[in-house]
Amino acid sequence: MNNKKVNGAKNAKDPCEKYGIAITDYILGEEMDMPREELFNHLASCESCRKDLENWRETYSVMRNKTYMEKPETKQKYQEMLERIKAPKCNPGDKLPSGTDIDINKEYGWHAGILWRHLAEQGPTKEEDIPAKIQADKDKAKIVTGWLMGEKKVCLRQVKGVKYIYLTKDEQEKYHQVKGMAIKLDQPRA
Amino acid sequence: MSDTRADEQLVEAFYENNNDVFDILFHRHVERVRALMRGKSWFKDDDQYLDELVGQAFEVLWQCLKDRKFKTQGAGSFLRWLLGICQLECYKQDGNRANLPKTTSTLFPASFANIPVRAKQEAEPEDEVLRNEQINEQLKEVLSKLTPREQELMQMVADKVPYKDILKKFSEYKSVESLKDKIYRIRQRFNPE
Repeated sequence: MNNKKVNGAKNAKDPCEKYGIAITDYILGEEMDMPREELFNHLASCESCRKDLENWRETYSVMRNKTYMEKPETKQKYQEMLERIKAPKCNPGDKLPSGTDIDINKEYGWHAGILWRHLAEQGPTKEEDIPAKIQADKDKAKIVTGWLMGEKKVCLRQVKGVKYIYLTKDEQEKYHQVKGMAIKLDQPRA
Repeated sequence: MSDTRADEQLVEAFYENNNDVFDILFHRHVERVRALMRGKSWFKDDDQYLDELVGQAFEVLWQCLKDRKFKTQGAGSFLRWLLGICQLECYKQDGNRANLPKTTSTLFPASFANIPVRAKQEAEPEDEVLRNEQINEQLKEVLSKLTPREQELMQMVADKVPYKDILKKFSEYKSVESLKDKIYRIRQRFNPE
């Protein structure tokens, strides 16, 4: 044990005690009883206090990590994390012949961005016109529209037998916010 | 009952399509991985960010094991490999989060004020994990010798409860100064001889 320090903070003979208390505060992020500069200047010249700081930093770090990991909500969070990691991703097993997995973001995300911008600039658009507007076939247009619907960015309205897709109010506002930022959508990579 | 198989044996089982052994590896190492991340990351006080780092590191691990990238080189080689992944992931994500320098070699005392706790940046991850585990053992020993009230106090300190809130629960401390003094006295017991 560190006999120099264990006698307690009240022992006025040890000039390092007040710095020891400041070190505690510093690591805990609490307000110190002295300016930071005073502590740092002392640390620059006192090896014992530097060791004390390092010990307390390490101990506190381990203590904090342990306490955090033992919380039931953390355990739950990490269990969910594990399940997420293990969840099948592009792993069809034997049910699908081998081939190349397509990057969904590249394949549909870019078109979803085009459709989003088109709706923001041109307003409600007939569902049947969407493939031409986003330069995609009908199937891809449906997937892309579904993508934006899933993200609650677009709505669907039927008017006299014709279906229209339009951007939600929140998304319209978002468009106006970013409009001035000269956002240019990237071309999909080859 | 905990599985006594070595990590390397578990990886062999994983390669034989026993995905369940990944759970054992995850639970066996997650705490030390997080402690390592906490020591390495610039954002060590951001619990949510650290959790994300841990998640990303295990995500990388999962993918690497799926691709059979780990080749065993005897006992302990898996842990070294895993910690290497974690360290790289930590630097990568820290770098993405803020354009900060990734290594710092000299800290004491000149740059101390600006970068307070990066002194062990260059430590090997397995050394750091070993050190954390030694501290953990010391902690257990010291904590077991504290009174229940003192244990409760240190629990709140570890939970990052502010002094003013600790004071509300611990009426025996009449002021912040007396509380600081008590914590200081307790924490001195954690210092090595």
